[in-house]
Amino acid sequence: MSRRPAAALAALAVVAIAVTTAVPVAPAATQGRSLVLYAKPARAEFVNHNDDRERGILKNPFGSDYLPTPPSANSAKKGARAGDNALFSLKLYSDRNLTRHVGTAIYSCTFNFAREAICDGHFQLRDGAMFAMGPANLGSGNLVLPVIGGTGRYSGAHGQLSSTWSSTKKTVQVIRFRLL
Amino acid sequence: MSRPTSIRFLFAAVALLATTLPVTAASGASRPPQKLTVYAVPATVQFMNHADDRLRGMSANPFNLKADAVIIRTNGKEKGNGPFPGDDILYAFKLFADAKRAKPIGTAMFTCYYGFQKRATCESYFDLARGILLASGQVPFGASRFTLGVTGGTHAYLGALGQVDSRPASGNAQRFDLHMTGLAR
Repeated sequence: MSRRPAAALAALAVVAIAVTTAVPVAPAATQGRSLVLYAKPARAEFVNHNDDRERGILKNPFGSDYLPTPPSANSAKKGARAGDNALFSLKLYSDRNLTRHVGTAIYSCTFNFAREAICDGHFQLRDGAMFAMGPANLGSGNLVLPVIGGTGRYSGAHGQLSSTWSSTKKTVQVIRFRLL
Repeated sequence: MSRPTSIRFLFAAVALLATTLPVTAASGASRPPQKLTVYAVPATVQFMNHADDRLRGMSANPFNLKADAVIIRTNGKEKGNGPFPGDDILYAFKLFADAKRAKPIGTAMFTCYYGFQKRATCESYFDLARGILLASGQVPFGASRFTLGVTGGTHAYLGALGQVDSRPASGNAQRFDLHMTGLAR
């Protein structure tokens, strides 16, 4: 084997290993399989289902077996009662200064009790999407959700994300993905 | 470069690269399967009757539906009390470690959206001391035996897959067997 083909083969092997073991996340990959994104809220919509709630108490398929909802479970002053929905869209950035826009996110949440909600999160990035779902206390803004799947570069994504308010910019959420 | 030398160089390069690359979350390295049994007692229920939305949806919708296909009403009223497509129900449970319900270990929430034939697609989470376990699946109305798929978890249940088997327990309780695989180390 001549010197050039051997060097080329070695380089090819190095590239092949690098490609097959590459961390499958694009922006701001930190360590292992983690990803940090910075999210700025864009839009919000609240859907008040008060009529459906009242109707459901009076007319439901459970008859006398129906366990009435305790008043304390729906005592939130600003709405957000059991069965209401909230939709949030966010712009995603890869840097804390919000200069590199890398995608969008949307949370679709259904409130249950005590102002907690189950939220379905969809994170659309340039090279694929990730999905997360789980409980969230929307009053605090801090949440930890299981990541349950993805598409494209994130196909088969599994793990968890944690989202907290930025310590420097109070209107920015820092979302950390930890993927297995 | 001689052939043995080039091969040695190749292996050396590969070995060097392999040692410098980060261990990528030890893909496939997971803890052995685990089973956790919990006993659930309903704490709070909220049924959402979307009759007005169904009625509105019959006349104003983005599809070209024939009214006969969506009408589930007689004499201007829906037959019976449902649950009908579009209704949803929220259940909150208290969880216990034993059938005697002596030791509380967390809570569970089920959010179920009804489709056709009184079957609901339920999304649930079990909020336990060591983390959240997420499961979803179809539950027929009134069924006490059903199976959900575990779709994920957090903290101690990070990476969880598997299934949840549900069956009635003594009293008003429901037994959930949480079968977990794929848990991260």
